[in-house]
Amino acid sequence: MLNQPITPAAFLSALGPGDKPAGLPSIFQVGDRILEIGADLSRIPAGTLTQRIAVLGALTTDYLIRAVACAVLQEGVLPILYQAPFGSWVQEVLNPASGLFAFGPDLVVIAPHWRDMVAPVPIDASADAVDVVLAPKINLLRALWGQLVAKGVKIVQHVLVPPPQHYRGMAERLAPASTANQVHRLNAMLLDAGRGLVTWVDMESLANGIGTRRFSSAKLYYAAKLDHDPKFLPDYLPLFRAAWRSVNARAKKVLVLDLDNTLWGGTIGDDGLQSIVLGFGSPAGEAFLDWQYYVKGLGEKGVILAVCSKNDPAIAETAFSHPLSVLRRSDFAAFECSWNDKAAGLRRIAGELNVGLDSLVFCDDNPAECELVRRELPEVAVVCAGTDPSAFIGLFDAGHWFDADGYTGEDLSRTAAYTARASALAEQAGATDIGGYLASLEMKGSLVRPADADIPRMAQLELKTNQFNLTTRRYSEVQLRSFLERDDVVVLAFRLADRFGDHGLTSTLVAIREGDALRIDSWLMSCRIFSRSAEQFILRGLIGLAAGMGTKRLLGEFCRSAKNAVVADLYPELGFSEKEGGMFVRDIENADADLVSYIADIGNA
Amino acid sequence: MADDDLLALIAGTLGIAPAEVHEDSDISNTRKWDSLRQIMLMSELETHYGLELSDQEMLESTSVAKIRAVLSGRSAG
Repeated sequence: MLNQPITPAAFLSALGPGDKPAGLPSIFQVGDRILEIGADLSRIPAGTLTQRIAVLGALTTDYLIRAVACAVLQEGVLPILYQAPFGSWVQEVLNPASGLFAFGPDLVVIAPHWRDMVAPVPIDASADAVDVVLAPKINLLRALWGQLVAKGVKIVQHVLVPPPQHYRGMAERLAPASTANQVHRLNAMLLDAGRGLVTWVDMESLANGIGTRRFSSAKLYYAAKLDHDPKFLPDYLPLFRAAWRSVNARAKKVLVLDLDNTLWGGTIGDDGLQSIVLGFGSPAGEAFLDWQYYVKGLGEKGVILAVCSKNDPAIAETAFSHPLSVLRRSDFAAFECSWNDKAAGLRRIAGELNVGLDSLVFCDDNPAECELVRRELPEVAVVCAGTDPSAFIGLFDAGHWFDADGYTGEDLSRTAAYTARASALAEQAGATDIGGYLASLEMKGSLVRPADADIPRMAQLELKTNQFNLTTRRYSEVQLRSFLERDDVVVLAFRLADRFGDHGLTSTLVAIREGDALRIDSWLMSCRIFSRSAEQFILRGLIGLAAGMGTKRLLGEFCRSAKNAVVADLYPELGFSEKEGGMFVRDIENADADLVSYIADIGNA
Repeated sequence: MADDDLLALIAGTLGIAPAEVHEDSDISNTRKWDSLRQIMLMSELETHYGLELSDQEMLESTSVAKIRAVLSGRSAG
């Protein structure tokens, strides 16, 4: 063992294939070896990703620390570990000369126990009275967190697990002073106090899933002062990993799914839409239906959904038109159906969505495909769904792949934004010519004299737009308003929408009459809508206005800046010829048939 | 149950070679068999043989002979 290379990969095989370790002995043995390395850091090769992790617990942490070690290892980082002496979790943090601070942790894992946290109060004490006696416990934790945060240490803490005993049953549930209710109240207060400071490991939820009486084994507490039965540590690992990813900003973002026998039973290409197993009528069909609801729910909660399947894309898509299909083609931000290997498909999905491979979780029923992806792309998390659809939700849920500390507005709008971006990209890839692509976007535009309410947005665009900005004159709200009062100035605002969404006010133009010419003094456009024929659309509109004003020629200027090279040739591309003095000229009488746009004009609508 | 079944389970749980465990092995003469691993070993016994040990039995079954005694007591009962 001593001559083996000391890298995360070298240990991982000892935990067994897949992400759930075979059992407690494998966790213990691998954890042992990681602890041994901590005693001699010179054995760690240069370049290995490491993190210094301290485990502080109210009770015995010998098993816990080994599980933490394995979990971090599974995330590709070699932990260097420190275990606080038994029962000294508070002193270790409050004493600046403690072993903890001599160790210098990057991250601490705090495992308190309800016995240290509840207060002896009469069972008829009011909720307010209970809060008063619990306040010192919360303040103690605040003080500990403050010490750690001041030293730049990240904090992961276990949610308290209430004891399993019921005493007098329902009466306990109704009494704020009951042990169980004190623990619930402590958890609520701690979660509130720790917001932004602490990343939580929801041990209570884990205990409930297993059964608190089995989880918080009384005999192991008496025999070894363990706060839970270590045989459940294989279930703890994915829970801890989720918290670890969260505190280290490595959250998973994308769920990539296979199709046949993963989202429905049967093979869409062979069985056809009528024969795939989905929906009522069979247990498997109902299980697939619920699993689709679950997946759809993840999407609604901020997980980006994608498909990677060996299928004909056109045939695969038909399955989402199944009358009972909960998932729709539009739920997926990337849709990779081909006969190529899935590692290549996953790479394309990561590229298309502009995320790292380590942001992907891949779920497939086929063990061979799972194995291939594990081997080819070890960064990708792989969930092998197996053959029993009734177990899919439980199996996937137990991986805690997308656990988050809290929902953000960004989470809830992210999928839509990615779907729009990816759909546009996919359309682009699929279209045989640019015209076909632009037509398929079903764009609608309007070019109008701005209303007063448009002026702030226009001034913002003037300020922000650097690339498509021909003269970078950057007019303010006051200047734009004064232009609007003049008869010799044309001010235009352009809006664009397409089948994927509304882009809003995305281009502005200011033109000034000079004799028989209309000079485009300022023209800018948001980079989101370049090269979609909005340029031609706007120019056609301007030509119409110029003709109405009785002018003969359009003049265009290009003032080079550090960032606007993208429009250096805009005027020549739009049929202007270059005249002396750097002005581009286009005669108004010329037909505008060269200005082809794929945007339908909806005018003032 | 095969005779060497228990010995293999003990070796596997402790992470030592099967040859390191024999009928005379106990917590004092066996590498890696200590009070910490004793708990894990008992937990593995429970899972493997489908039985429940008391905390007393967990703490006191610290040799192959004592474990065999507990196991035979259970199968007889």
